[in-house]
Amino acid sequence: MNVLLIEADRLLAKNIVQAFTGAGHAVQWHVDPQSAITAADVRAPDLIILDFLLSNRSGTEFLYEFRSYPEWANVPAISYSSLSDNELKNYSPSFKQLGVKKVCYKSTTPLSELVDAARQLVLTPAA
Amino acid sequence: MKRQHSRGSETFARQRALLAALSDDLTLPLVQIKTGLELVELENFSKKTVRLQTEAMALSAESGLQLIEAYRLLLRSDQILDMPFEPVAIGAVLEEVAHQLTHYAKQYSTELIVDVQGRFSPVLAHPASLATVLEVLSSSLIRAQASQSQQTNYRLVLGAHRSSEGVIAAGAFSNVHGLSDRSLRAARSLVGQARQPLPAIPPGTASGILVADMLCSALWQPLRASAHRNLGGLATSLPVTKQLQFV
Repeated sequence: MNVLLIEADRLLAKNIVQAFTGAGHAVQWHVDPQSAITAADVRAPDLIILDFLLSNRSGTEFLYEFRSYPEWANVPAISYSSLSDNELKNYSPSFKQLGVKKVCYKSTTPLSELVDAARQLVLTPAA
Repeated sequence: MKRQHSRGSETFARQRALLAALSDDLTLPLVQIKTGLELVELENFSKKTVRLQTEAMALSAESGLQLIEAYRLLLRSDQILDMPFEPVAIGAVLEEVAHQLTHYAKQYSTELIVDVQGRFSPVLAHPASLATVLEVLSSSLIRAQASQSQQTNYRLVLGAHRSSEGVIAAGAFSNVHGLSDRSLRAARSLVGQARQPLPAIPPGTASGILVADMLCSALWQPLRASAHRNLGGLATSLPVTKQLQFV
């Protein structure tokens, strides 16, 4: 599985990358949504994991652009954010339409659960 | 009576905003530690990797504790203001802060540089508060810079200079964009209400800047956008010791 990870914090990103590579998956990590789009152009991801609160553009803006390209319209996304489920609904009411299949709250989601959720989404796309 | 009530609710609103800011910034080091621990438990790391991972977790813990210290000083700012301020050599404080943050900065591939432009008479300050402000501000800018662009190396300058009005300003300077007097003013009114009061900076980082700003406002002057050797940043103006100046 090839994961496109957009996470603003370097130390946390390092841990996430380690968890996925340890489980045998490839991860392309980016802090900036724009460079993530460029990277996806080079190697299409099977899954996106992103925080909605980023530096330059929000996760919502990124997903709007990402979904506008037909080849990436169905790539599943997981929100791994410090925004809880309720906050996310207020923050981005359309996140379900943006292909966010799973919401993982950073404070309560262990990395193993994040890896399992990712695996499940890629193996069973209808999940 | 009415005025007293409104002052009370103002203080309550300020405390609430401060706690919200603090919780945002504390989440990040705690999640870093939590995920780090999980990896040590799950992965079959070598001894060296476990040591590196432990060091990273210790630095995350220190950064969280530093923020709590800033918060405690802010709660005590009224008492601190009643104490006589001491003459402090600003260069020495900046060196000390750089020393404290060197390992943390390395985790974010950041080189710390201390740059004091010229020779200054000592400034009047509460030394622990000044050091804490500069530490919290610098660690926030270290994270902010690394979150805005992906590079192999970053630089953060802990600097002091004399402004055109003759005031000594000390602060942290880097290539972080989106920090201006205007964005700071907006952020001050949004703190505690918005998750991202400084839009160019992620939430786990912005709050540290705002807590430092509140502590500066309570003790000296609020933080202001400032430039130092072609780098942008935030600095606070410090009063010079008049007696020593006279000597």
